[in-house]
Amino acid sequence: MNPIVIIGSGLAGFNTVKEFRKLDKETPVVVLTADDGRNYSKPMLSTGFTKEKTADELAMATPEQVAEQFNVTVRTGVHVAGIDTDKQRVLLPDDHLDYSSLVLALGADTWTPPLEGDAVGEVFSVNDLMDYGRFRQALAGKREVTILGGGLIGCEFANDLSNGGFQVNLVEPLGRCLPMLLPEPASAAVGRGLEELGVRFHFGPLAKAVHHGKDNPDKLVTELSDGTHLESDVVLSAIGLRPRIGIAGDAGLRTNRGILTDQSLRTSADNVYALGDCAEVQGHVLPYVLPLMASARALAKTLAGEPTPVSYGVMPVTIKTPACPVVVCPVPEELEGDWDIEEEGNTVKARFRDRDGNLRGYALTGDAVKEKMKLNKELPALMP
Amino acid sequence: MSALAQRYHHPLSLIFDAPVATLAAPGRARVPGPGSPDQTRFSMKKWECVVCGFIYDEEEGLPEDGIEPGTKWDDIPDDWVCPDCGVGKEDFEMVEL
Repeated sequence: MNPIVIIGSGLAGFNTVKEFRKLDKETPVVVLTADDGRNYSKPMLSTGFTKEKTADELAMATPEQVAEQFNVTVRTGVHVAGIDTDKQRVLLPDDHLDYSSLVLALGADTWTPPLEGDAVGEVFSVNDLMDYGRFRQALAGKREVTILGGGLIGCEFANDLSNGGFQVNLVEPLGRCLPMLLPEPASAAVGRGLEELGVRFHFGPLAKAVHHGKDNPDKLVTELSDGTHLESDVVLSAIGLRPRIGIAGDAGLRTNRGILTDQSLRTSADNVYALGDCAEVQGHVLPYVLPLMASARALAKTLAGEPTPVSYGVMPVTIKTPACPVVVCPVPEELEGDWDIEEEGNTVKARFRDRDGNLRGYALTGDAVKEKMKLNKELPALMP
Repeated sequence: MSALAQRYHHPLSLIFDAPVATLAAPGRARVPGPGSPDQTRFSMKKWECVVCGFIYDEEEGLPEDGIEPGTKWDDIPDDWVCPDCGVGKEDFEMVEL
């Protein structure tokens, strides 16, 4: 029998392996990864300085250890060239691999806006453990970092790098921290928390270009649309993530923002499944660990012969900004309603109610994060 | 912050567990199950989710999740999952903060 083939060795790929092996010890499984195949947890990449963890220390297992522990084959540094869904075959640069089932756990790409300047090639993004290792290396002995983007990743890195002793400049065109996730008073609380750590905000302008310093070419100068020039040692782009849909689209699978799946994580091709950051499950693109784990458990059952839809309960997102902790349960897009906001210092309790008065989302900062579980019980499941 | 960060994950960190736990609000530890309250409180530990960084503090428990303060890690049901990221108990490690 052909193996189950999993493309991707991030949390989605390896957790599918782990959950599947709890149910089926024998069926051959092959994991293909373009990375070095070490097992790590992506959320930990944005707390590495606080916890003083190098890339090697964040690696929980080598690919060899994963292979042995779960009785699977892990092929590293493999760039998949294509998928032939009729023949149930993954095309590799010099080879191919036939599958019984195929799992796409491809993750997401970081998206960087178009920038000009002679130092654009030196702008970092940290999207996997190998990126993180290079980023740490570039920061060795340096002092100042400019972060492009004040969303989840940008704010987490701003907090973490400040904890690590770096001066952080943060550029966010939308004018406040976490603008897509939080109502304004909660954004302000996070901003104050980070400011107290020493983060310097540049709210409003866009980054236009990144140049080498004129006097000191080791320095990078980020040019903003309002004419400001920010000098720093390193520039980190943390603008956003885009699901990796390229090879799925090329293979004729249906895609939209992500790879489209039904509630059982089945794509439009027979025996091909998708989960994690690359997937759009019944319209939900949720690049977070909680939905990913629920998906891995359901998919493991399906792969073991018991077709199982995934259920998404309430899906709160914890943002790792200890300077002002945040938990948010995002409001469904285009839902009409009102925020009810209580505020005291950096503690903000914001509850979003729809026109019928039902709680449909919340944002909690500071001490209010303790109310998470109480509010979760009042919220409807995202995808029952 | 850096002093705290330095202690974090220090190989000898476990020996600091007892004093830290005793310092933290001793009156709040209500202890179910066997063992005298004093003994149990003395050995209260914290566990960190290696996937998302969530901390389970035995002394505080997770009352909203039905886990009483003072509940030892071993006494948490095997099917319990991390409230932040959904991984199982096997993805937690004992830590000192």
